[in-house]
Amino acid sequence: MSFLHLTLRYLVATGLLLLMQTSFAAEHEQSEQNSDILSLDIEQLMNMEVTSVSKKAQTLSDSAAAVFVITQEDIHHSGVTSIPEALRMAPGIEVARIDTNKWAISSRGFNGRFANKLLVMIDGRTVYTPAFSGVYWDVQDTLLEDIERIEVIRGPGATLWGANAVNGVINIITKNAIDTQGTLFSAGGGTHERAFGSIRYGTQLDPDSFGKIYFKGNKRSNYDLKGGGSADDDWTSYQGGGRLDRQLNNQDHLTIQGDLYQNKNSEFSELAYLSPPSLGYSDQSTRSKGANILTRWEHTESLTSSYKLQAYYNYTNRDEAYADITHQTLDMEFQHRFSLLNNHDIIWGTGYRYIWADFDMVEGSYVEDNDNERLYNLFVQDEITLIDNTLWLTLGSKFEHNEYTNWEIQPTARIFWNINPRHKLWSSISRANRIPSRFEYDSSLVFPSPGGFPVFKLQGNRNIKSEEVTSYEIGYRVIPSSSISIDTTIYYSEYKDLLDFTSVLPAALTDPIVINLNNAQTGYTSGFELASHWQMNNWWGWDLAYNYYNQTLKSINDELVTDSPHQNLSLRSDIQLRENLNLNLWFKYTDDFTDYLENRKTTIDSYTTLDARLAWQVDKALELSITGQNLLEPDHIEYVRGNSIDDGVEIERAFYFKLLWQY
Amino acid sequence: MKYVKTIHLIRQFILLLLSLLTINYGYTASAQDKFDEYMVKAAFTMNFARLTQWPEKRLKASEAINICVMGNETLKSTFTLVKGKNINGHTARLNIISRLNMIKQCHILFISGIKQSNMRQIFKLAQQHSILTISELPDIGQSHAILNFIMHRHKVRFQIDPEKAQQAGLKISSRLLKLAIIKKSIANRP
Repeated sequence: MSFLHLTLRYLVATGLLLLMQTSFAAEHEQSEQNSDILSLDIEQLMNMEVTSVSKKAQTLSDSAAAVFVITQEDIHHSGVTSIPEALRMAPGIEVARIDTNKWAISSRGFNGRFANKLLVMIDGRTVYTPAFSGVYWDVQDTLLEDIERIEVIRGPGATLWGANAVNGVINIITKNAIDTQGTLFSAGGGTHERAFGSIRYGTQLDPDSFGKIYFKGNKRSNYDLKGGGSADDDWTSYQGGGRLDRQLNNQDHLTIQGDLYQNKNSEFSELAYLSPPSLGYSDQSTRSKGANILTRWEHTESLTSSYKLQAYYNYTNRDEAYADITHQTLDMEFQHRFSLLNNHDIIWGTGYRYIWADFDMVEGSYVEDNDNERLYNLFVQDEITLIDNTLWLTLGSKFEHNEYTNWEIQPTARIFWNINPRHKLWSSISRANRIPSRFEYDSSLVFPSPGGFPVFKLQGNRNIKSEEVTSYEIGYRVIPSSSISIDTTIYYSEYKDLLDFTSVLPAALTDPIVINLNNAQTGYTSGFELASHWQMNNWWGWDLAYNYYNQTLKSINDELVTDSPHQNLSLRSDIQLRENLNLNLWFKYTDDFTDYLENRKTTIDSYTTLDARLAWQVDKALELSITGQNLLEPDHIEYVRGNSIDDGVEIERAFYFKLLWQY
Repeated sequence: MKYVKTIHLIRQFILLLLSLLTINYGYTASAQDKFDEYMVKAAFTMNFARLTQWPEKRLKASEAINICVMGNETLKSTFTLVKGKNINGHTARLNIISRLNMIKQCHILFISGIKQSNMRQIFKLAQQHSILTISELPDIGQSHAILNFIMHRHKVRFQIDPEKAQQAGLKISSRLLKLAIIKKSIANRP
């Protein structure tokens, strides 16, 4: 008790002291700096400490959408070792690690391993799997040091980005080859991140061309099952690639880039058969490989007029116990931006995508593989300046054609009010669709039930409609002092035609329970999101991300609607202890929630984690760091795998050491 | 009950941070000496104007100096401070640039947050009109400007490309050159 009192007193006292200090500092800045600073000598200016909070806030605060940017510095200082883990920094994004090689990631609810309402892109290449519209996160990788930024957009982004951008868009943008010159070498290892290494070499090929190549490898070990024993989920991955940026002339820029990868994930799978024995097990590893090549040509006509042509080819193959699936995608896009009548900034574009799919399913399951998919779209968006530098209205719509539901119209209206440089207000109404995936439309899939048998048989439905959301958002951004920025959003989203199902009980126990898909689920979600940065002083900065989520969904199977955590909190503290010593502490909290996987109710307890990274910049080129992850508890569970044999995988406390050499 | 553990953990976390604050307090300079980055860059720009000599036909004795900016809202609103200030006997005027043909009247042009290919085009045009161009990219080699701001440990530093200044017909004082990081040619483009 006395300890608690002491702590509280210490907290209150120190907190007050800090608050006073900052508010005085803020006042001081406002009154004196404006008049004095312009008369200073250049020598004096060179010794002046500056804050860049307003500039940083600016880069994302001019858009009428709920945007959060994860920078290279955020990624580097946090010590994350994969893209999914980096996404935990963004508010409103739910990241749950299922096991070593699987994540459930979504924006604004509806999470799951196969969460399908989020669009993910790497350098303009869409990476979701057309079979089920979800993302295999284990194969979405690049050299983390070469990521320029990750833009996280919550809410519908369909007008500009299209298919699948129902609840959010994640845009992973890598650096231009001109910014990745020289040699980078990294290596390390630890308790769970067993061993990893990467090498990148970038060079100037001629006065106007820059190139880089990279290669990386990771080996991660098994976690344990909640009930004891190994989760059989170790993960080995290799990836390499390159990028070429060439300035053709003053107006034209050409980018060519590509990647190759190969992964091996240990797996313990449960299989179901239509004929006895209805249940089987397999310890076949999942092997995946892929390749992509993308080329983009950007032409700048003038400041207000430019166009862009992009084409890519993407090959993915995933060989799992229950299916061996290959996808080939060819995608072409054209985008043109120009201004009209002084106050209209217009972007329009068109795109075409062709997908070849090959399904080799386990006995009893099948997908009609005779037809390939074609998607094409046209979009237009007009940003109208209503009052110069103050008020903008954006209107736009996407018209998208797909094989299953034909044309979908996805409009948006957004308004942005730049009240003054410190206060910004925006609001939007938008509609987006999620088109049915191949599995939902065309397949017959057999999978195990919690009781073993009878088994489930999911029957695709050729009359299925697109899921639809209409979303209303209001955002407010404020910079209360030169060291603090706050970004808040509230939203309300109405859903209709959400995927639902009815199950038909079999006449005999040897027959499967047939699950028929329909669009009966409706409802709404609402929430609040907050992102804030506080540069307390020149060596200590704070980043807070928080979200509150609430859902009311009506289903035929009311008791089986999956919920999402109502609250998530991420608090990062970046401390420059000495000029060459950086300490980063990252505290995360996730609320408990109830999930229904294959008719089985599971409650995931709330969890609190702390990551810490200490980095020593030995000299200009060499950095040594040690990172501890999930330090507060020996282990915790974030999600439950979709099989009936285990109660979750324990995400362990872990440490790793890393050497980074850049020259 | 489930919150008790969480609260306990949060408390421990905050305690840890506060203890860090105590041990490291001596390291910080005075916190109130911080200025907004663009405010400082505006002050730098005033100094660049003082320490640069334009060709006589480009800037006549009683003429106003046109300081032009192009970029984000924060930059634009911060630079309004320079309006009406005196620079070596010339009055400073601020122009917010939105179109390419507006730049011919500029004496100084600060560009931020636009695409590199756009920038290249603009700076090439600016070169012909004896304009002191300023950018803020990671390296001057990418920017094609005469001056480029870079950040070093929370302080503003700048790079100069003297060759480009000469081509534009601008004389830059040795005082400025002494403080600048002279361009290393990673990209010596024609």
